Amino acid sequence: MVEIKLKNVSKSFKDLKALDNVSLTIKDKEYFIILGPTGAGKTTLLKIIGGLIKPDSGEVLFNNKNVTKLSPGERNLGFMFENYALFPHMTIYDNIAYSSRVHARDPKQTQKIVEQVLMMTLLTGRNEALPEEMSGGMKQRVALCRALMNLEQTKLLILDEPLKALDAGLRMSLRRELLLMAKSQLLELTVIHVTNEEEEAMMLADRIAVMNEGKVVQVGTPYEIYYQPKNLFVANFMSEINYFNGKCVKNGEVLNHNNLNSEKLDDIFLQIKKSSIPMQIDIGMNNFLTAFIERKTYNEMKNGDRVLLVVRANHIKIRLGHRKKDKHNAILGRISRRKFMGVFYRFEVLVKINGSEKIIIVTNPATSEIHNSILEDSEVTIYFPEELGIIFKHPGKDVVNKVLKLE
Amino acid sequence: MTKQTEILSEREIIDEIELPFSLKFDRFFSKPVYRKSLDAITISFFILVVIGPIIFIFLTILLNISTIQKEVFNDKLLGDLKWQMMLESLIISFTIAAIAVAVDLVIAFPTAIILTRYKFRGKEIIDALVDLPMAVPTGALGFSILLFWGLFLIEPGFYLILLGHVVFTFPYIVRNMKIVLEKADVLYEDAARSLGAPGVTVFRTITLPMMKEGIIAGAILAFTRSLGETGATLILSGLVETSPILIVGFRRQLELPAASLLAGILIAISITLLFSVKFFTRKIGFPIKSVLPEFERRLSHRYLRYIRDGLVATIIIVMILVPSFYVISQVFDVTIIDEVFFGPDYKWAYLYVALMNSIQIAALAVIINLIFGIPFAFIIVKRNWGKAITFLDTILDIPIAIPSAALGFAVFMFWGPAGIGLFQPGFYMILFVHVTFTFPYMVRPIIGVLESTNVGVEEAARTLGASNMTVFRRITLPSIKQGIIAGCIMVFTRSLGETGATIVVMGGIRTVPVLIVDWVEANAFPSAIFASTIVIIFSAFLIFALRTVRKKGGE
Repeated sequence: MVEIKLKNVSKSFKDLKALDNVSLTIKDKEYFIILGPTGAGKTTLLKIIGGLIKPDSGEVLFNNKNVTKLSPGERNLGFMFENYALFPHMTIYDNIAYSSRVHARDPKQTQKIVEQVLMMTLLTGRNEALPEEMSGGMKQRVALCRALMNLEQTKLLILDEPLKALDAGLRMSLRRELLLMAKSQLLELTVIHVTNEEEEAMMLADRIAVMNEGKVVQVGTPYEIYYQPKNLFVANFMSEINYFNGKCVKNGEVLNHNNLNSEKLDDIFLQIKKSSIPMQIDIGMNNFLTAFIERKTYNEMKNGDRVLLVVRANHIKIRLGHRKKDKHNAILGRISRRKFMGVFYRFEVLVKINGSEKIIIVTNPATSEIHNSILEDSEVTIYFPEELGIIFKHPGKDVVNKVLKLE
Repeated sequence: MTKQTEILSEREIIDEIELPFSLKFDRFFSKPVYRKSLDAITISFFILVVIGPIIFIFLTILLNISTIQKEVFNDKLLGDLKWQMMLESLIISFTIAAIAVAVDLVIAFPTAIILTRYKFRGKEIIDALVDLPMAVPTGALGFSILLFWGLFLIEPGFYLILLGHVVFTFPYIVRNMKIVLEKADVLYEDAARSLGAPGVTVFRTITLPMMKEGIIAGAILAFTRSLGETGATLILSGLVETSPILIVGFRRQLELPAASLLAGILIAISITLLFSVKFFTRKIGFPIKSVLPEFERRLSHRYLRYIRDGLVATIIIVMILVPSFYVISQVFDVTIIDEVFFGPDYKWAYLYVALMNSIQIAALAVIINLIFGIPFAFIIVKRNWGKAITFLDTILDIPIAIPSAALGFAVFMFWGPAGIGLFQPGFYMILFVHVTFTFPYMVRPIIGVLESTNVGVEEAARTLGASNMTVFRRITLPSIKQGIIAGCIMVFTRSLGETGATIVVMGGIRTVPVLIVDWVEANAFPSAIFASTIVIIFSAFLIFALRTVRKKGGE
């Protein structure tokens, strides 16, 4: 039984702030994923939990006991490193048995356990091999076994990008193995796993913490992270998105289109209906988009506030032709590029909103209908369900460009 | 006009475009003939200049075995006294080298760890200071050590030689350890720590085995340097005779058969050492299976570590740094100006001439080694000659490994009156010796950068239509610039500081290190202090330059 708490942990390397006031709670027997781009501070966070780096400030608690000052050896957790860090001068057997030897456990017992472990991981007969003679998948298993051998009361396993160096097929099967192992009744593990792949996070995690620039941006279940992202960064990290700049219009008031054009600020209006949470968005020419908004955010917004509407590329549907009755969440456009991606088609749709052109990305499952009918230069209508639009307070043009790497 | 002729005429136009001279030059010299002849010239140079003298000394011994028998073993007056002297000198040399290396190893471990794994203010400076004795002529270093330990009434002799050898072999060991420590990923140590190993255990089972090659390489280099050191030893030895000093003595008395024999023995021993290292390094293992958890946990205690670090810092300062540079503190003595500039025998003029000689020889050695070193490095890295490359790569290090006095003597025999007869002892023979023993110092860094350069870039240039020579000139050369500069500075400093070989072949010419030894032997201490200080400051500049180049290369 182990519960890990981080309280206001900060760490700097020279001028670089690797971790900035991070607080987290990881529950017992949880598969916890830390997701973020390279340089977000993920590995630093792991090393602080593992005791390999001391934080500049803040506390690390295991079961409400302060372990901040304990050495890694005293924490007894399993740490699996990026690229595995198998000792190159030791055989597979010696690598796995290292922890037992260091702790002076009974040699006979150790031998038994190591041989069992080797059998379970299908590595029997390879105990005298050196790490350099092993394939990537084998190394990964050995590293995992070595880490598991160190577990005592603290059944915490820390995995730093454990599947990074493997090819795609192997990665899929090892993900399944990891999940099986983590959830096995026998081991009762708590796992902290760092990755920069959202697919891996989605598949394995009970909960995900998204990190960026040394901060934890959002913690939640995969569902929450995907459908209720806290900001543009989280939304964009999970899959390809489209965004619209807008202005908040409350109480059914509709701003004058001409007025908007002269400001050259926005593509669209957001119109928020008086008493309901769905928000209507006027894009001119009698077309309306609607999206949901949290009541709390709704209450905070003033009439005329700038907002950002985000719609995931895979949430937008595409239909051939223009029809008058398409009013809700529908925009007319023309396919400017069509790419077959195997599982899905990726379209770039050129739309005209308030006189300026904009490219909307749409990804749809590859069906024969799409294959045959929606071609380049086709006139199409794109539309999305109102509950799938995500509205943020506008973070400013610079932030949008930075997060979406437009410049 | 048909389409084909159109295309042809276009081609003609392309051919007719006037190429700039440099590209024409490149195209011309890109022909395989030139590459092959350059390879041939380089290999001949290597064999003749670097390896030739060494082979020749063994030949001399074999051919003159009867003379040696007569003079060394069965002299009418002395019997086998000379042989006894040789044996004794060998024993002394080996004992000193062994003890010096052992002492250095003990201090160097913590030093290397502190300099690579710790972060503290002033680390750069300490690091440079530890490196510095490597660049300072050992004559100056030896003189400084003589003055410093003289304060504590330690007379020249065995123990003073030992103190000196500990000082100037120390940087070689630390340097090699540092290189492997920097390469050894901290990740492995982290992994061991996370598996519960205390500091001492991590060091013994993880760090040490990964440092193995660096430790052994450093130890052997230090051992051979100690074995061959002449400049400082002449100053520190008193009546004790190490083997290189005995060679110098034999050479001065023109007892060439005896000198040949001793030089041959020293060279043979050094080469054996070098080869056995290349051979057996892989096979030496460390006990990694047995662990004494409680004992090692206690040893890993924080306070013990503090004590160790403090002790090492003190030893380095008192035994190595202060003695090395003590001479500088004496330079403000008023008698110096009197003796150097207003003395009756124009000491400043001698110093000026010697300094010019040293700089000219060093500069010429750099140029010659540059001309042959770059192609040689290319041969080692780029040619697919199989075993021949491995062989060349191994024997390349021979000039570093063998005692310079012995090497100097071999060159003297090979090129001098007793051999080919091309040169008399003097400027050009000194130059030849310096070219010989600095060659590996030029080639090694270039090999290092060549191996780490990205071949893709060269291939890219080739697909864009560049001829081989253009690729070399515009792509490869700029990318190995750092290695070339590092090699040049290494050659320059080594040539500037060399004493043993120079004494053997110098004739009437003096270089600065030899002049310092002369002056110390003639008790002209103030002048020696002045010369030593100049040389140390000069070397410090060179080391600073070298470090700057290295740093840039690392980024």
